[in-house]
Amino acid sequence: MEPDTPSAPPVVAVVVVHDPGDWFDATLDAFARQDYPNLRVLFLVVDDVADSDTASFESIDERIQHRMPGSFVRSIGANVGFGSAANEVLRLVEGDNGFFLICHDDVAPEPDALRILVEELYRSNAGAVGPKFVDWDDPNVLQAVGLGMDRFGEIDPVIDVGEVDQEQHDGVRDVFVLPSAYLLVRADLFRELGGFDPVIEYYGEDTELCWRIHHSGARVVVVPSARVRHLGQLRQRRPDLRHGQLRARHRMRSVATLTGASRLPARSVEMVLLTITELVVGLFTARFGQAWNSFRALVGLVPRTPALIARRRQVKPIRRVPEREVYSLQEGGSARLNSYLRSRETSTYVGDGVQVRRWRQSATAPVVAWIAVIVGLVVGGRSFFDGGLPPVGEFLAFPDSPRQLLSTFLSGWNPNGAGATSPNPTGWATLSGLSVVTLFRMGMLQTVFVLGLLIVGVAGVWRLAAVFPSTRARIAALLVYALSPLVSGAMSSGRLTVLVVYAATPWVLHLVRRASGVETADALSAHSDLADGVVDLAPRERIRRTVATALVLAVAVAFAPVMLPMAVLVSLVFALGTLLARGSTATAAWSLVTGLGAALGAAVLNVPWITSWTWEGIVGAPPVGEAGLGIVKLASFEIGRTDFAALALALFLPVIAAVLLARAWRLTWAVRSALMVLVFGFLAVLADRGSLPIDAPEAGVLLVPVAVGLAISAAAALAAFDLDVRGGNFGWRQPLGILSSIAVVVGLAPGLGALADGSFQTPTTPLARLLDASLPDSSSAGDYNVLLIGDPRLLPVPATDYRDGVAWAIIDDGPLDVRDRWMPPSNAAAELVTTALDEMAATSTLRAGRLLAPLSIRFVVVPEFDGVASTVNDPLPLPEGLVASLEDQLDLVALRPGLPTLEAFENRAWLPTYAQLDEAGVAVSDSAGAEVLVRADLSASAPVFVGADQLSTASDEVTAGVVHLGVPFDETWSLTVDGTAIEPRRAFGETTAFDVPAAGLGELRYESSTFRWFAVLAQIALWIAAIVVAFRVRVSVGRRAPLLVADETLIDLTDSALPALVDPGFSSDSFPSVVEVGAASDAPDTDSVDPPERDPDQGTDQEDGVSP
Amino acid sequence: MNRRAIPALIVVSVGFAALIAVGREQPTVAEPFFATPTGAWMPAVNDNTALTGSWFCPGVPANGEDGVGGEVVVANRDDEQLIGRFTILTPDGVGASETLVVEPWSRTTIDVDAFVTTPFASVVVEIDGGRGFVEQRSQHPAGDSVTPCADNTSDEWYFADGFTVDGSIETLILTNPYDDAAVVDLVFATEAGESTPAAFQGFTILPQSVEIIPIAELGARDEPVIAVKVAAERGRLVVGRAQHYLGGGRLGYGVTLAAPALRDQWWFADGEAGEGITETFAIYNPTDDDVQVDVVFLGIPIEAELDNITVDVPAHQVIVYDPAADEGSTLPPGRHAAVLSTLAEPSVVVERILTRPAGDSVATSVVMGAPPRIDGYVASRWHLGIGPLVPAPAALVVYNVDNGDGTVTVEAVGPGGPSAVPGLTDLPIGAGQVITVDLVDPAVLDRELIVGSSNRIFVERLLPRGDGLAGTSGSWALPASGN
Repeated sequence: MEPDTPSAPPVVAVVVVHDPGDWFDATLDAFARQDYPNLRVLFLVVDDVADSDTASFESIDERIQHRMPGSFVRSIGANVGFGSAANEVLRLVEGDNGFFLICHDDVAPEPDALRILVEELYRSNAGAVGPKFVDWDDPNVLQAVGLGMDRFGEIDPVIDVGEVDQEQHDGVRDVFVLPSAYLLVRADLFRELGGFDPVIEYYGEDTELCWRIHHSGARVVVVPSARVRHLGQLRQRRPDLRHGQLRARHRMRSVATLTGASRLPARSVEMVLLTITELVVGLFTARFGQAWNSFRALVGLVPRTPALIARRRQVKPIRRVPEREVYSLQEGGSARLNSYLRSRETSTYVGDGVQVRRWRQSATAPVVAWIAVIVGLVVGGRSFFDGGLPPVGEFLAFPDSPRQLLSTFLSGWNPNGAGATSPNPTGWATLSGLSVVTLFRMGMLQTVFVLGLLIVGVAGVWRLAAVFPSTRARIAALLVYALSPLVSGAMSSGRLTVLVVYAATPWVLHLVRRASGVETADALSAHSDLADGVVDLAPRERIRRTVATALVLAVAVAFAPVMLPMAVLVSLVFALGTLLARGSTATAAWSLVTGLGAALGAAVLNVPWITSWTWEGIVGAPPVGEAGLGIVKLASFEIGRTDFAALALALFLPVIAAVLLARAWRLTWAVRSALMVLVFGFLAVLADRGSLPIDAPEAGVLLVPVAVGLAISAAAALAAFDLDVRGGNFGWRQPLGILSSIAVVVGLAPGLGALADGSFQTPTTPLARLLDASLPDSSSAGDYNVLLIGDPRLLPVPATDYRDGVAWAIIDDGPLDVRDRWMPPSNAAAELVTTALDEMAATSTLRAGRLLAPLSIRFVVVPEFDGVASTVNDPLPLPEGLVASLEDQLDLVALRPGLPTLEAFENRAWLPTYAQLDEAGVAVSDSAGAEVLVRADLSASAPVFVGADQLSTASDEVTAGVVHLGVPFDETWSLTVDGTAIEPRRAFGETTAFDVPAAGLGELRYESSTFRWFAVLAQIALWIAAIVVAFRVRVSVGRRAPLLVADETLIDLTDSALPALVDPGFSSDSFPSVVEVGAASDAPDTDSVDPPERDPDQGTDQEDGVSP
Repeated sequence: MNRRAIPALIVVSVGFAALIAVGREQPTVAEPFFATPTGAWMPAVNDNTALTGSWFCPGVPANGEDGVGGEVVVANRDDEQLIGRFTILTPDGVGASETLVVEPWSRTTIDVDAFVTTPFASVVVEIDGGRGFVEQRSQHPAGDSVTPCADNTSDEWYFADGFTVDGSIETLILTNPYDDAAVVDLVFATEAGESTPAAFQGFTILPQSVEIIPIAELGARDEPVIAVKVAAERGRLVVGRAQHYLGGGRLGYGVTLAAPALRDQWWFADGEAGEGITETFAIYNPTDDDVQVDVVFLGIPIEAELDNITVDVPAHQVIVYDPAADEGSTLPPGRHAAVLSTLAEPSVVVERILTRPAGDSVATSVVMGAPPRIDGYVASRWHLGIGPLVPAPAALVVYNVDNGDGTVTVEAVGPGGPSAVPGLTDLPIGAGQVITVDLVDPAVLDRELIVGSSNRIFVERLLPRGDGLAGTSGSWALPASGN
């Protein structure tokens, strides 16, 4: 359809349409009512046949033609993004006369909107003009009146969220950015600029275009008298997009390609610094996701450098004005930082059946609280920063090289204990990967890792406490969790497992509640007794969040298997709490399903390691010789050294108070947290008394959910005091609320006091260090193992239970490192050791050293004091008869000079780990049983392959006879002598030996099975799949689908007549056929504009302002 | 209050109340346990299956003089051949180390002085399977002496008695069977009090060697009683004592094993009052607390009324209790048993010194008391690896601990195994009664013997001193470990 020759300049409206909703009819009606006389409308319809959920082209075409007969409607096939789709106008429209009106499909302009824009464009001699956007449903609420932008590409929305239109922004003015939802641009300019940047699919295409318009010298002007309603629900319409990542990526691209060459180096440095700052601040303000997106986008620029350079070359010709002039149009400082500093941020809250966006209470108080927490942590652990973490408890040193850690993980051989072919812990690979963070400096990584667990845990509670739209409440939760005596106790005793659980539990809870749809409730809906702010989640999103939970849980499980049952229990308690608080049954069910699903997922992600688990391995060595802390110590989290820990009992007052005071969702959370305290408190007490029918995790682990419960209870109590008590009639509620606040303060005292020491009172001479110092290195005497035996609380590595209060563990002759904290695989070594101990305990022999010889146990060590659980002033009793039994043995000799902290004995009957048996050994090595061993004096055997391990091939001269390996029998060890392979066989019934027929050069190696490699690859694939699902990673494969629009000319503007008078105030002379380029130099000083704060979540380049 | 809160409040309140109720009592702290401390009992024959049995003999003289020597007897109480090893330790180290074989139901004798010549030598015997036991016989012109070997080492040893009157010679034999040196402290207590000679504080006993300490070197000459405490600062050892009585009312020779621990009860099966018989008890309290020791004589006629006897033993003191000197406790003539006990913690060690007429002379035997096992166990079966070589009247003294009547049977172990000895079967023994058993039947001479009873019993043996000497030398048989 070609209209009659108009009197006004021609305008071609380009509307990109994608699966429109019911509102699209209103859009069509609005376009149909435009009073502009020379408007042609081109609808470009995304017709993605691959997506069966989208409306078909035919149905959309029918709707358009029904309301706007004569419109141009074309299919563009697959969705290539808004910018690329809109650029089709350059192909479909011939000629440069007139204007292009770029439109989303969810706008409804007022009838005169286009006419006013065209008039103002002429009047202002602008290159692009845009209207005032108002809310679709409530036109009195402003959405955008032009946008500001800082030099980092950050958008300043100029107006506040929910700001009512009182004509306060109605002056025509230059702006830096106009939203692309309804943007009038000169056709010649748009064509010269090449349209939108085709790389930018969504988010930022308007920013980039307007930036280039500024470079071209044209003005960008907002005309508020033109009003357009805008729906803008891109997040809802396109849940598949990574909105935050796209926004950040395109922002970075725009800055990289459009910043002038002279300013680019400095800008790059600024961007790096700003991003790092953003990361740090984001970590403390629950905005880490945004900061992470910025970081990813910044890093992502590096591989895209060639493309960026090419783009800069493309843009260069249109740089017609000096860079400083464009720079002067941008806002000073950082728009994002400004929003922080002004404490003006918004967040989405769930009301009674609706979601609303409101101001957050405060943005600076959390920063201050977080800074206080970080400073506290730095002060509390200050001695660790220069001296490193002492090897207390599980704080064993990390290996020198991450490669070593990775190699050990990849190997099929687990060297822990006596060693065995067994899947290795996922945590080894994880730690190896984490070493990137500290540039492979493992010592630093250990400190960062341990202290980082505290930060991660506290951050988890901070995120979890986001269910309270109250800054005070969140800070209370933050401080209660951060300053729990559990932290100082775990740090002082080196309980890495407790710290891992401490870090993971709040995150699991947070992710479970999110996967259940529980979001932050709207404070203003308090009166409605809303049990939870629940949102309906699409199945795909629910699955994604469950997978994310599984991923977090899997990482935790990689370090602390006990986290698996803990996560299930936590989910169960969450569900029970929901039901008890009469919350939604669906929420309860989903939380349980999510917890179980996440646990299952985490278990799968830890395959094949999980196949080697035992219940003992999961819960850790049982607390034999029961700790017997008692309820008071348990309730005050006194699992380690913490002075005045009893004051922490005050934290239990808010648990009851919150249930008494709270209403609505605060009550729901109060009940959940109280149940968390109650259930896990019960478990801790019962475990402490040894009353549970199964082995339970140590008290510290069970107390973590209690600490989380206390933190959330404190938050609920304070939130209830703020919303439900304050301002009411005076009664018992006010004093109780005040008492709760005081109790929180009192309860924080022990944790605060624990920071004074600077090392959380960790012992200065840890047992692991003494052990390492008192035992000789592997030498020409051969490699050896050490048998640790005693109270499991004193053993520096996970131990196997022997009998009440006695456990044992085998370590090798190297220094202890973090790998040793994982439970060794169970194997035949246990039987050998148990037999030896049994015989010794029964005084059945005084030659127990010979029984231990095949496992190459050269030293037997009984720890007495570790400076934590057992001190000189408060010693743990040594197991009765243990030292005496060891002293009895004729082949065990006490090590001299002795150390006051341990009893060490050398086994004079020991056999080196790799040994050439002497004649006596050869004679009995094919026999089995303690009766044989006890008669065999193997001490004359000679060491070979000294220093060999499973990671490399060891070579040594061997003689005819038997080469014995002090490891449980394993066929994957191989020995070749002068190239001839020798089959391994069992020795002494349990260990490995090779019968060497003739002397020669032997080569000993361990060969991981092919299955191991498949297992590792499968595990990697599983992790990648989980990451892809959880983080919605999309990888572009193949070429982008071409547009389906045929190469045709729909509209020809070449011969358009001069514009007619469209406004009584203007003559036809006012409509030059060609607008003079470079007329934008009189742009107003943007500094004079007072841009209102912007909510980064809103993104009006606009996150909700872009149509798909 | 919100109605939603009511059920939650009830659950939470009740839950916390229950939690406090459950947790208010401090849980009992289980003491970690590995094994019952060894060495707190007397040497015993192991009835349980064992991998190896290790025996440490306190030492025999082997100086090469005529009539002086010693032997170790390894008895096999099983129907399978025993294989073992023995090591002879001397002050110069290992004197010999050999493998030994003991046929079923048989004994093997190690003639120590045939291997080494040294003032004293100790023998360590290790038996595979553990089904055997070991005793030693010291041979001396002043009389032979038999004593069981220790079945374990210890880091402390005690003697309550010692005697150097009239030139009597007392020698301590300290044996370190380990590969590591032992460092020990010696404490002596005489009537003058306790002393800790500097020369014997922290002195070293070399690995696998014997240290011989003549008590006279301590300056304790003409002492009627010398108690000894040997405490190892480092290592473990075995302590024996050789005593050659030359006057002061005592004559004879004996080598005995020290007590490896202090106890609160010490039992004696043999005891006798009568003309020319002197019986005293040396009670040593090396602890820091004074204790009272009750002395009870058992197996005496019911009509004999004795006062309650309580002996005060001050800390670090040794006291000699002489019943004959106690006017209120005149023992009736004849055999009796005795128990000396304290209500205090295990804190004393007691030896009985019994001197009986022997022909024209006297013969003195000093026997360490027998404690019940830590768990109160008293054996009903006792073993003798070394019995009389010649007919010996009243060679066994048996005391029935129980309050019921019972029987006693003596079995001799021959090639076919144990067999009851005619005439020595089902010998009646009354409740709390002491009986003596004559070993005169040729079937019991030079045999391993087993004394069994239907009741719990203590068994002492009185063996002829040999070399035509009159009189006997007393020593304990070895109780069966039971179970």
